[in-house]
Amino acid sequence: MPPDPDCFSSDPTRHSRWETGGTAWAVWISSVGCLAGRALNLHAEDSVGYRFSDYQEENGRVKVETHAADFSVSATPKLTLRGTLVYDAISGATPTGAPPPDGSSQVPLVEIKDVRRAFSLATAWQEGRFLTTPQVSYSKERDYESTGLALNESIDFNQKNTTLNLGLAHDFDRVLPNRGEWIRNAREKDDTEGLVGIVQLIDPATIIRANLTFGYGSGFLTDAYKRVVFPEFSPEILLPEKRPGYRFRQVFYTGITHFVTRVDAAVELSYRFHHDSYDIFSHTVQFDWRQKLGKRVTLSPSVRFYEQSAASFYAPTISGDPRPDEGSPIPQYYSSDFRLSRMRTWTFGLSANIRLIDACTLDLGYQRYEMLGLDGATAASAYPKANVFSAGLHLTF
Amino acid sequence: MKRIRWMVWLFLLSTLGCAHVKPWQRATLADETMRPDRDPLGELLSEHLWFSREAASGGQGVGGGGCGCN
Repeated sequence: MPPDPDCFSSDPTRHSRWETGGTAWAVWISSVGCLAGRALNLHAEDSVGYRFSDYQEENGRVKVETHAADFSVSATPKLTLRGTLVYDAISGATPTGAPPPDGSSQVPLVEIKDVRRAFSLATAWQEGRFLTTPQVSYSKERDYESTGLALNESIDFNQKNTTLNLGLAHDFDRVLPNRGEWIRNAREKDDTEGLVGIVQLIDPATIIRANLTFGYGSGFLTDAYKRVVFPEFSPEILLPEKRPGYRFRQVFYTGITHFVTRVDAAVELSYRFHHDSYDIFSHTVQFDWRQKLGKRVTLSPSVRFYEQSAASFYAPTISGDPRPDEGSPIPQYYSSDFRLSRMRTWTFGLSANIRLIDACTLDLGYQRYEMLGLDGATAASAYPKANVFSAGLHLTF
Repeated sequence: MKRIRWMVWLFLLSTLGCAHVKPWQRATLADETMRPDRDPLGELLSEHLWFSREAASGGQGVGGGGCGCN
């Protein structure tokens, strides 16, 4: 098999929630989907998939129910169409950025409720050793709109032992005014990413991947829900946070996948280094074990470690007095968004992939996500812990 | 600039593969568990979770669009 050049994909973590209704629904979808797949006259390698996911943070924080579907259809021997549809129902509460009030350990929260609809469509054109994949994507929420264009090119070398991946993407985004936000008009935001990557076969059971990505975001990068407190001015009054108008990111990713024939399992280890102009450094290590159990079941435990340093302008409360002519100097940029603080996250996952019949696979998954603050100053209650359950069906033809 | 140069060197080093795997030796590499595209929806959902909760993101591909993600 040549190294897969598809830039959509990578590791296999997934999640799910088996609620009573969800179970019945997923089983129903499985049955109907399997029958429908047989009825459709699709080509070999064609596939459709559906996934339901329930993300629930503890203590009444954010809850996201997701319905996602994708397809891959070979229109001609050289042309493959791929698409994704996503529907997110978002509710719950997120921290405002303010510290806990006196006598409490709970950070103040602001209610959010939104629906996100998104789609992406890509056409993969194979011409000899070149695979060209342009992509368009669009998503809309009450408070956000994004239109994305991307072009990925994969070139095989060395008798398909090596694949060079090149990618370029641009997002034209708009932050829209919504309840809980402090902006009154839509604000523009742009993001450009470029990638160069290599996939290399090492031996008949080992593949390595390495990517270098550069990203540049500009425009309104501030989070319109987040606010800060200047205790010297007033410990009660919240003012909007303020982030720099650009962000330059550099990311190095590498991963190795090896098949352990003796135990009939694949093992994958990856590492990602990230640095950006906010002065955030981060390290991500992920380990996946994909154990085949007979011919129909694959069980995949995984663990992911992530750690980041704080943004240079992050603080739980901001020093200075923002009143013009009256107060003491304040920083040029400031934010109390816990996602910019020094912190660590762990993700533990377990997924099962069950082949019901030859063309139908049932996917079940669970993830536990835990975030821990490391700066000793940000309130522990700002950091979420979440359970993610998922269930879905994948049909191949 | 120093950091970028360091990453470029690391990237080049990690791609130094000179082994030749013949087409008839690739059955194991074609196994479902070895494929990077084996679970695009699961990957999409996981990446979305991490993207919305952590400062770093990406590294494995470009494209797909943005999100408000609060």
